[in-house]
Amino acid sequence: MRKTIFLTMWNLSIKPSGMNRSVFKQAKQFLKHGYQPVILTMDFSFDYPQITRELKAFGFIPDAVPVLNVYDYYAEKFNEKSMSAAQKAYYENSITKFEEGYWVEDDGDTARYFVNGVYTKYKRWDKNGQLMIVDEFDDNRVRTSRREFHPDGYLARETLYHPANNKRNQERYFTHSGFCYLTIWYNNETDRQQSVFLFDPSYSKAMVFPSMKQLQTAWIDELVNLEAVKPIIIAEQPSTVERVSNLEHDNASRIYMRHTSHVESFEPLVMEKDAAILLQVMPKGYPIVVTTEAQRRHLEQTIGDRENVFVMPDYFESTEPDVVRDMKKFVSVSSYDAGHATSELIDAFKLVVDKDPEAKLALYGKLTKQRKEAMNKQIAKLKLKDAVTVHGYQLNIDEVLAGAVANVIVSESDGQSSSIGEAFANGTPVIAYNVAFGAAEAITDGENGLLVDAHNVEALSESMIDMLDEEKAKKMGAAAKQQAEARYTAELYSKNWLALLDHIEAYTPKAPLI
Amino acid sequence: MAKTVILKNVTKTYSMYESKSEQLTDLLLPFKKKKGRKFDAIEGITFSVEEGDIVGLVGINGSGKSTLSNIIGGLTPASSGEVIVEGEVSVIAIKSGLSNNLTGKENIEFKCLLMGYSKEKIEEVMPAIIEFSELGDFINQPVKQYSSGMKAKLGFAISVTADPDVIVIDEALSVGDQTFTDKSLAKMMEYKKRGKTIFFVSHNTKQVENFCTKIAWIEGGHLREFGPTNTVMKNYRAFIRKYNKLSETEQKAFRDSLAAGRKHD
Repeated sequence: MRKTIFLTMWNLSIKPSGMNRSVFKQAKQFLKHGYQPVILTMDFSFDYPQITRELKAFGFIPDAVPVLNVYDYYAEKFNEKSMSAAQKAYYENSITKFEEGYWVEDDGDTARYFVNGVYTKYKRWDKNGQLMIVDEFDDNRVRTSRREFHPDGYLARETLYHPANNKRNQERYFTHSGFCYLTIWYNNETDRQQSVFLFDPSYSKAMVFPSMKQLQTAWIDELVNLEAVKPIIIAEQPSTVERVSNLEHDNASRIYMRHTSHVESFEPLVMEKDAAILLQVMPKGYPIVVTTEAQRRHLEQTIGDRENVFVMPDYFESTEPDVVRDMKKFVSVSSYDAGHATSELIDAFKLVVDKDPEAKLALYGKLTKQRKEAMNKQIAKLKLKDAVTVHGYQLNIDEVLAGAVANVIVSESDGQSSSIGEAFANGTPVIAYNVAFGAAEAITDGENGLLVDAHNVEALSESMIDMLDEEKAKKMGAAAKQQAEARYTAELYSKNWLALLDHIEAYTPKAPLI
Repeated sequence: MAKTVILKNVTKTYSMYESKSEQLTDLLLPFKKKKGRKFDAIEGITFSVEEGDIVGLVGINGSGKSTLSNIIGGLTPASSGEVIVEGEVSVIAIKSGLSNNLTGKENIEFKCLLMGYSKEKIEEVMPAIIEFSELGDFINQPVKQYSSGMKAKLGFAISVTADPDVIVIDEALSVGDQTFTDKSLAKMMEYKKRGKTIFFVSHNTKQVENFCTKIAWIEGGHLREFGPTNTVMKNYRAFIRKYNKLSETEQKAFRDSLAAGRKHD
């Protein structure tokens, strides 16, 4: 009998972030060492079965690790055997483009429906011809409802809009058989949830929750109660920290993980808003896991040291891709959120190209459309179109990193940066802003990379020019690889974790009597 | 910043006897089964404190605050676990080890001698101590004639003169009058600025909140919470409110269940 470890996350996507991947690696090691990891997700998506299939096919999540979602769980649990006849007929009718009794404006993947000149309905299909949504309108062309269909062909969610401002007012969620298992009421002015009702077909009393947050907590509690052996829950993300901390019973051991930095600014000291609940849980003595020593020390000083903060650096293994390293090519692999000064990097690279016209920079990572446009605009303005390219998300990042002279990271704050670890595993040195906690801890300036004062564009360009010295870059790359092999290995990682997991009871505080 | 006080898994166990004869039997017959029952005043307490931290020890009566402060102050040894205190430590308590038969002045001399001061040095610091203690003429009277507030004043005055690195104040400020308390708090603030570590035991939650940077909340001999003042005091106040709402029998049941966990053979 394996002990279950619930890894609680907000969502999953087929473009997993560094944090997502770090959770998958966790699952892999826990499974290998005799535990049964189960990934829990909290958001609503039609695609979880497909996302899970793909992540498993790519080898991110081991086959033996189930992925459960709160909506899918109840949709499945409260599903009656087969699709009802009414549900089937409704879908058949909906899927047809030229419905009887309507004049249809056909626009390929979308269509508008008119009755005697009045616009009443809108439909959209996906690329494969699957019906996705049906919107209905009142006589004033104000949308009154939206029905969303599951790829398997049934109505999954219906949203009703308030006539006053066309904001959502109510959502209903349906099982495969057409039973409404969940209703959410919204305040149409604030978009806040007012009440959430859960319906069980075999029980005529509706369960009510103030919002989805409490239902998600109740769901975790329900799963915990099904376990024969006291399970462990790891809250991986700020959003799930709150849900896990709200669990009242003491029938699961809890671990709270912080993958990113908990500090927004050091002078004056301001903590990240989304770390607030974690910082309230920490004094109670629950195990807190961070990824850098410096972060632990900072937490001990500012919150209090009762030996409940553990450091578990992530491990990084290269797939050893067969690529030739281009000693003139820099890459920057990051998630490009607000905490990344990418425009400074592009400015700095202008100075590099002025010095060495053959130098290239390739930017990789998840990008919003606006952000990509802004970057391309800046690149065009600086006449860097030949030197700087923007690539978006790359699934196999090893190829990118192993083919570059250095990985440049202009993040303003971080935990252990996966981009640094991945670069080191591929023998690629890193140039980074000298910021707490990740970069400053992983990089020894001049040895396995270069540290630059944050926001110093000139120094950043000088570091890149410095790195164009081939011999220097190769030496640093070798040192980087060595560090990865010494410090970021799966063996060390699982040893660290097992020391906590195998003795979790000793690290779990007693539940208070009052 | 460095850690100044480190407690690792500290436990203090007392033996409890029903009569003197039981105690004697245990002492005189070491190989016989012990008659006394054991009581854990504190159990498995682990936390560390940094330079410049002012740590409030809070908890309801009998939770183990004073035992803990005495262990930190080196007045009682821990039964097990490790206590590391960097630098000189001084304890200020209501009964702060003053000799009742000696006068105030003699007590100052006596305590200063214990701290290793020379005769000259004692003469040098004496006026400052008397001045701070606000005792005036009473300084030449035996301490047994002092009120508890006066004892606390004298104890406090002697202890702060020693300029210790770690100071433990056990309820000492709750017996003095407001002006003396304010003066003492000002002195503590000065110490805080100089990076000293202070432990502060008090039932006065207002004082604790104004003065402390971190709070260690002790419940039934265990460390329930340890963290920043605002976080822990919020929870502690909520607990006190709930506790006060309980009926007397429920309160007793709560205390009994805590105590039951601390008694063993």
